Amino acid sequence: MGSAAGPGNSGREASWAGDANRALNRDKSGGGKATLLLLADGRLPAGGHAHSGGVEEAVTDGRISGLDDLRRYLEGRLWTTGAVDAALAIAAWDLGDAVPLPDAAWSRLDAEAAARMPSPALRAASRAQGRGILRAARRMWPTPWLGDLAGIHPDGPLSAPALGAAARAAGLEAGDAALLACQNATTGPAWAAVRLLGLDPFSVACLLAELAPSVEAVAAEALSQGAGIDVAQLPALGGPMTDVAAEVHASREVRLFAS
Amino acid sequence: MRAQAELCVDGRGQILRVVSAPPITFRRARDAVYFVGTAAGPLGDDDLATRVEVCDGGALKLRSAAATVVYSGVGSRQRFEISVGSGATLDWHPEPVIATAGCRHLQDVRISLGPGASLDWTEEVVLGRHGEPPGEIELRMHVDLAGRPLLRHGLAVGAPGWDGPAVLDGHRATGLRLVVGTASPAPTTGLGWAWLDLDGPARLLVAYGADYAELRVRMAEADRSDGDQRSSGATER
Repeated sequence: MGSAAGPGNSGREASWAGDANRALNRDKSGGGKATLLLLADGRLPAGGHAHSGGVEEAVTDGRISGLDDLRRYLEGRLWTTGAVDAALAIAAWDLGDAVPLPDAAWSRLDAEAAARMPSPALRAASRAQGRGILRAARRMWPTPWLGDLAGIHPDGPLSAPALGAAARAAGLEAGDAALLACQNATTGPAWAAVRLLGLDPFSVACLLAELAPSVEAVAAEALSQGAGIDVAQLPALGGPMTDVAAEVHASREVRLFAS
Repeated sequence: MRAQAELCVDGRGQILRVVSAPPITFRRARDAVYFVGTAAGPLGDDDLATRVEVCDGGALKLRSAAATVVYSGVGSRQRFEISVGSGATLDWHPEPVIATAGCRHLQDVRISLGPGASLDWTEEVVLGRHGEPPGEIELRMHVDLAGRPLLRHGLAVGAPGWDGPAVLDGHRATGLRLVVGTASPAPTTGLGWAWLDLDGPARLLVAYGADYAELRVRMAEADRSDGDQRSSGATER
């Protein structure tokens, strides 16, 4: 390597610069691990920090008082909300990028997603998060179709389809969209619990590390069910306590988190 | 066991066609049509299908004579395929499903409602007989109104975290009531229940209790808050 470019280090430098430029060009089309990490970062200005994923109400009504309760809560949440959101994110990823935007298909997906969220408080919280994700993604990976998505519903898209669309615009794979949805279903509530209960952050970090294989498993299962299946047949799974508590939480005058 | 039962009601509420298939048998009474269990189950690998059709403008009230007890299974299924025509009415409130230890069961309900159809659908599940842990049971509900998705609802008892604070947290009875097509009062909540306004002209009551008795008390309280006299009468059988 570098023999034609001259003696010594100059050849290596030229080659290094070439590699760096090729890497930069690849990154413009997105799709790398750094892009995935960026979308998974809770500090992304997409509004996720305002939501506790139901943990605030569960702390208030006494369902979560310590680490063991949190573990059981996160497991339940991952296998219900996480699994459904992963499937919806994959379906949105699958629709993304088609030009012109298939309006009817997006409306159908929005209606299918809304039908999986019987709680009006959770639908409102999800659309608030969907707007936040879309706002950030449109700036980060501007594509015309992503802008059109904002008009899919007067209150904006629901969060899981918005996440799937953002992943597509960022050049990520369908499996990444599923992983993001499952990760959001667990990490957001976990860190909210640290704030609400003053739990030891290292213990919660351990808990999340233990849960990571399950997060991967739920995302992989959503992916194995396949992109491109009839959206009406996507999974629908919920928790009666989560739905009831979301309505109670929304009616409270004093709260730290929006949901 | 494989069984396929069918009930079809015309626009004047008269029974057009009825096919009973044990363990599912239909019996007409003065106040309603009743499901009567004529064999044990579901159990084992039973695959039971029930089709109920209410033609345009018709009305049907359906009740059951006894609870459905789901016994040990290796993947039993009970499917309900329900069609309620344009302007038709279905009032559905069978006795609860009891999921005993060792069951492995799927209840899959698919409801298709025509434009202007009315539905009042109650289902309840008890997880285990007294002092007994339940097996695995998955309840699925898939409702379309005039071709649009209205509700996709599911509960998987036995899945990871099902008995944790996100799902049921030690409660052994849960129920829902879906009301479509009648005016919706302001949504309300109470201890262990909430009326949820769906994304469509419908509302869903979600409730849970430590046992069936507590669930019934809570669902009755929710019914009263809903101010719907017709249906609260129906639940106080």
